[in-house]
Amino acid sequence: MKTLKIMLNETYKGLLIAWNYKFETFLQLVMMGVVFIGIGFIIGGGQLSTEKLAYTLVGYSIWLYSSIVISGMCRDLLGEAQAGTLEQIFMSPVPVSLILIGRSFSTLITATINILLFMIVIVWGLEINISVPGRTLVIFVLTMAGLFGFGFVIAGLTLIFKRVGELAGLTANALLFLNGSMLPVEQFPKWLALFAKTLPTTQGIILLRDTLLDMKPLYALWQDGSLILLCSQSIIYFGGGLLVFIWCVRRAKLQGTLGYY
Amino acid sequence: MIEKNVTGMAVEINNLSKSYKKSSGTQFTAVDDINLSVHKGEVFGFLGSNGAGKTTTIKMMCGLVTPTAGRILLNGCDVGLEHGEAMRQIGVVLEGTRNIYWPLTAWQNVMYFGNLKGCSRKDSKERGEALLKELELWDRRNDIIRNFSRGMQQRIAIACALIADPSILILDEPTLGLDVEATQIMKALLKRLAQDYKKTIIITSHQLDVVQELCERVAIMHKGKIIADKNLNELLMLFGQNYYQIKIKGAFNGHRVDELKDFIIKEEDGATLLTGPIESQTKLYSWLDKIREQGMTLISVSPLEPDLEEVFLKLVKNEREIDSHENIKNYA
Repeated sequence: MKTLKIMLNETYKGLLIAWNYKFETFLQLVMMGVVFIGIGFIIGGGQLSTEKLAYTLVGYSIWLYSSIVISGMCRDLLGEAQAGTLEQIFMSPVPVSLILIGRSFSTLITATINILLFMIVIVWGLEINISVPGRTLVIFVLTMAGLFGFGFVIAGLTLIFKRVGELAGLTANALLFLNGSMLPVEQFPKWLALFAKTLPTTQGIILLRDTLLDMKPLYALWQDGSLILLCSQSIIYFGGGLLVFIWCVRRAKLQGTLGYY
Repeated sequence: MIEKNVTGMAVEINNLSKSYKKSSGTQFTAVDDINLSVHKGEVFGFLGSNGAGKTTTIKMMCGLVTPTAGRILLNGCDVGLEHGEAMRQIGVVLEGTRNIYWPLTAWQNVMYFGNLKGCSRKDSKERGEALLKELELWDRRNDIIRNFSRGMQQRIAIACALIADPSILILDEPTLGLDVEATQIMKALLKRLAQDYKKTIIITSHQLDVVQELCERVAIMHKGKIIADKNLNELLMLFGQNYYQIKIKGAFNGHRVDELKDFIIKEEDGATLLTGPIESQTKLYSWLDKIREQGMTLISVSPLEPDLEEVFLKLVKNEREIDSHENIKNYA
């Protein structure tokens, strides 16, 4: 109960701070829309095809999550180090990994509000036909778990190396081309497809398309092994990410660089 | 809050060291095998020049830096082994940073830190209200911190540090950057916290007048070692000399006297002020005789209160001289 309260406390604070930046968030929404339409034109060969847009929208939305989580984790930690609040958080009696999970919830909620608004406007404005069955939520949660695990690694590296903002940005942008957001992974060369499938969100995007666009049931995905692969990846990324973060905290405390920025 | 203390000490530091490996491969010792105790309810000053090792020591007390050796007990809780329990004993405001969230209101900050430190919502509300009223910020509780003055922001940071009612308050440069009025308010607040609420307060500061006014005991660090750890009065009398200010009319014509080498000689408004140490009353009278013999007119003689700054500078100077002798010896 106490653990949940501390996580919710962190989530609430994150939402309060995010509300302070609502104008910037609105501008980001506009940018998301413009970039998506641009991608739609490229993929449709100069035309907006609603069928191709639906396909791209699923991948693009997950890429937006990747971008927000990966860059956000790094930027927020450095911002807090600069403000001295990071050291205050580390002086909390509760394990810092719980606080990290609480912060992730706040990022997930704010990102979901933004991306949902973007999707509603795009689906309504461009008359894209897409329905969201309940089972999609399972795939979404698993995809996010893997993504946040990867985010924990970035957060840990930020505590040690500080200047990882560029790397985080590069990684987030590379995912747009590598995780199947724009092009299906099956169209990649074999070696690249193999590598792409190990990245966070790639398997999630494949399965989200399967459930959202091809209406495949979960048991079918379980039977063909693709859901098992997603589950395994998410557990490895989330658990491994947390362990890497905890190791990085220990290392930063040994180096005495925790509050540096 | 659980306190498990058998020694009656708020803080016990035993054989604490911290070394870093430089990029050149050499070892740098920031804190070198120090031992320190702070009694419960004591206001303790922690002094040292920049790079002396005080902030590293404070950060090790807060669990933010892992020591190379030694241990720290806060009300009997080991910082290294019982991090959560040890952190419940302290409230900390670190130097040079905000410590609180500027985009949030005073009330949101206080409530956030209350929850972060494991207080119930009811306790956070009650203590938050009491603290903001005590700090005269209750009427501004719904204002965004960014719009507050530096002094008000510092008071909110202290409120957040105290929200879980820790018995030890650690303040790194609490008056840094504050104007005269805000410094006075801060000093009055810290006195109240010590006297009325019996908090153990540990202050580091470069403003030695603040330390002299507030602290009962002072430790001085130099190059990672504690070079003095004494009651304030003992420390002030450490060099066993009384300071006097002798005011004579007109210019002073005895500048070349060797005994005046430790004196500050200043001319102002047609008079000369001679300020410095005179070890005994006999010596003082002999000085006054010399002034009369020189035909100078005495205006006044006044004893000066011992000054922590003087003691601090002398101690550090002595240590530096010892260091340079050691270096010469090693070189030879």
